[in-house]
Amino acid sequence: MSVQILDIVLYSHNGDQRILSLKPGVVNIITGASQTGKSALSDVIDYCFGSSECHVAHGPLRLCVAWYGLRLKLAAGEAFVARRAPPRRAQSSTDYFIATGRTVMIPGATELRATTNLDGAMTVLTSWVGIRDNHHEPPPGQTRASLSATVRHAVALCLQQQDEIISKKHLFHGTTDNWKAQALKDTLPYLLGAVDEDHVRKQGELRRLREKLRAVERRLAEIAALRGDGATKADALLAQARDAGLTQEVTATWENAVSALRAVLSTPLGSVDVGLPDGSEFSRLSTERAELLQAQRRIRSEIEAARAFSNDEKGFSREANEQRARLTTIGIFERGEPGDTCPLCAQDLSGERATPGLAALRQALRDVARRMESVARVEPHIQNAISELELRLQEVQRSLTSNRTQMEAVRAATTAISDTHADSAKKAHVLGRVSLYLESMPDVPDTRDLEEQAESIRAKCKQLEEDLSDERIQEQLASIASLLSEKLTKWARELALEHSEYPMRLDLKKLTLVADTVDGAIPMSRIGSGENGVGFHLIAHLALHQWFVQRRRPVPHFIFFDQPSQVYFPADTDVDGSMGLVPDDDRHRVQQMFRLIFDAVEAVAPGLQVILIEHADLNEAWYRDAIIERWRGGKKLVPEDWKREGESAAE
Amino acid sequence: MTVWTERSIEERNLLNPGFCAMLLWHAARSYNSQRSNTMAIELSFLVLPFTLHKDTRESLPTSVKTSLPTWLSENPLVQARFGQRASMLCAFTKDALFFGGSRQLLMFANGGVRANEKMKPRVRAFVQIASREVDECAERAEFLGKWLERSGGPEIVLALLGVRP
Repeated sequence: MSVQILDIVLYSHNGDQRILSLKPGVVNIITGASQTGKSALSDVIDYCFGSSECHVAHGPLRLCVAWYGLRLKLAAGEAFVARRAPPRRAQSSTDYFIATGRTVMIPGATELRATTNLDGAMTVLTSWVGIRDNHHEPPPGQTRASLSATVRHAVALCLQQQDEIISKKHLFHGTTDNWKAQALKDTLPYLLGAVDEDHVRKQGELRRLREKLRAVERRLAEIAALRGDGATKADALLAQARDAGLTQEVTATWENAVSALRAVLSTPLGSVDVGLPDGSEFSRLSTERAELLQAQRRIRSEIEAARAFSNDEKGFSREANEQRARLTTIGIFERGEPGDTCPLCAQDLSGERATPGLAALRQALRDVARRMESVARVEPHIQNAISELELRLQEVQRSLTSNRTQMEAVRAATTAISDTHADSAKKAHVLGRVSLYLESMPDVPDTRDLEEQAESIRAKCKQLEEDLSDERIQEQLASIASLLSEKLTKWARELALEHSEYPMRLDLKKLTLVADTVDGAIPMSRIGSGENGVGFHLIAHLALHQWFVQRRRPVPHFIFFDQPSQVYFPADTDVDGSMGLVPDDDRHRVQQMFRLIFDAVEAVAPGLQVILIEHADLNEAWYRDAIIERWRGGKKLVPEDWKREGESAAE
Repeated sequence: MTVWTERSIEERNLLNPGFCAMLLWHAARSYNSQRSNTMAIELSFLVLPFTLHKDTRESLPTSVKTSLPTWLSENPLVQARFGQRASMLCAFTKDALFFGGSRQLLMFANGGVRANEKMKPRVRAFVQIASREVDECAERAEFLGKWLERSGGPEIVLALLGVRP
């Protein structure tokens, strides 16, 4: 039960309203003479539904109207949507007024003001019509951008203007424009329901899986590459280790090289240092150095602990400060006297239900202030401790520097020591490189798992690609078209359209009706005389909308037909609507057409609303009962006395 | 509704009814300044969820001309969480309404809430000496009042936010 129209409302520049009330779920007929504004109603509806330009023709309906409004029946509740008329010389206005509720009253002119703009209105209308996430990707190789269906695409299926309804070339509103036609072709699959409801979600998942697959494949490639030059790198390092005297191993495979390197790494560095016979000064300095390094480590960790503690305190005081700031707002109320009764409903508020009195808040403020004080007092103590520790650290570092200088001096003096030093430096260097290599190379990864993972992701991607494929969508579309074909053929026969002895179907690629005759498929544009265009339009739109209603598709559930009888009953033969001058055969045809419309609407009542604009005033009860307004003898859409903007009403 | 004494210290202090009432005062005042309409009671329940949550507060637009539906579609997370937050803060809003109402900061009329203009100097004085965050919240509450008023009646605003009274 999507959107239907309850009222069309026009506002004058002077605050008057003209309300045209429609009934949902049935045929609504407006009959009248020419030039009364009937056809422009579809432009008004289109404008309110967000057309980029206002196509209402120049005249009173454009100049004397300040706001165009629609009161809509939604699936749940009602809404009122109004759009400001374009200022003089402009093509449109983006000022929208929107209200909604379970029921909505038509607002007075003074209530109208811009509460949102065109984008906001489109978003809201699109969601009311029921359009959810959807996305159309053009097939690869096409240059146009991807698009999502909006209410604009859906509304195009609901309007059939005077010149469109007879066209043999174009079945849908606005499709004389190539871009619009293409957009309709792209969005019809979604609007008809040929696209899986989960389509967008699946597209997202496919993208995600593809990313993951790429990552896994990258990883596999990395590992393969590592293995590749890993072999040479491991061998080179092992050679260096042999050279430095750390190992004797010679290996063939990469795995063995790695385990030999691991063995090398486990050689403790301590045993690399050769014991020195007469280096007592040197060994004294070494011991001193070791002690100083340990002291440095200890002091550093104490400083860190103290700093962490101080940060916590700072965090607490920031928080407490904010609490204090918020509590000080009670200062606003200092002198107020609280009552014991609720100001809203006069209930008694004392006792448990009472909101905290000012006293309670003042107490809370005092507590916070006190806590903050104690934090502030602790702060300076910590700061002092930290400064002290830092001084000690500096001392230790000074000692370390002088120790190092002394050691260097001793070393330089003793060549034996320097040789050993060189040797141990070399060993340490090689050990360092080996350790880096082993660290950056992960434990021999089991690529089997990764490969399995890659396979399963590939399988899932394939499945999703199939689900989302264009072929699947085309299949669904074909199936829908074939379901509609039964109705189309039946109705074509009722209206005695040409070639109706053959099956009729909707060609969604070419956006036209096709008769499948023995001589081949013949499109609407090549069937018969000019009269028959209307019949095709009626059956196509009624069949589509019955489908939309029955399958709850997100398309507004109203159709606007503008003068389907015009071919048989042109305006110039219209004196009083009674079709007196029209030959009997033609009058019968016209009646058939109307009967079809009424029957189609009844079949899905109250889901479909039809707004029918006509000259003809048929003398049948079912027709007359559906007439909501007759615009003859001076009555029209825009009252005579409405003035243009700027003119006063009392002229 | 958690009774006052059962709330945690943080809740009591950070969300104390004096502070919350002050925010409602700002919102009601700026709402009324647009076209002299009184802010409906339902709308006052939106003030705390919008202004107290830091991320939401900072993502509010700077100009009242920004359209509410457009802003919501650009910030879908706000719409998703809003209902939850609003119901959690419901009790605090009620306390603030009572507190403010019984101490002449807020007045009730026509199913709506109005700010007492006479309290303006005291409110201003205290907001200025309070913290920067308090000032921010107050300024955003003022913005919110204007913005909600311009977006239409209470029903459309609540419907767009997906909240029921």
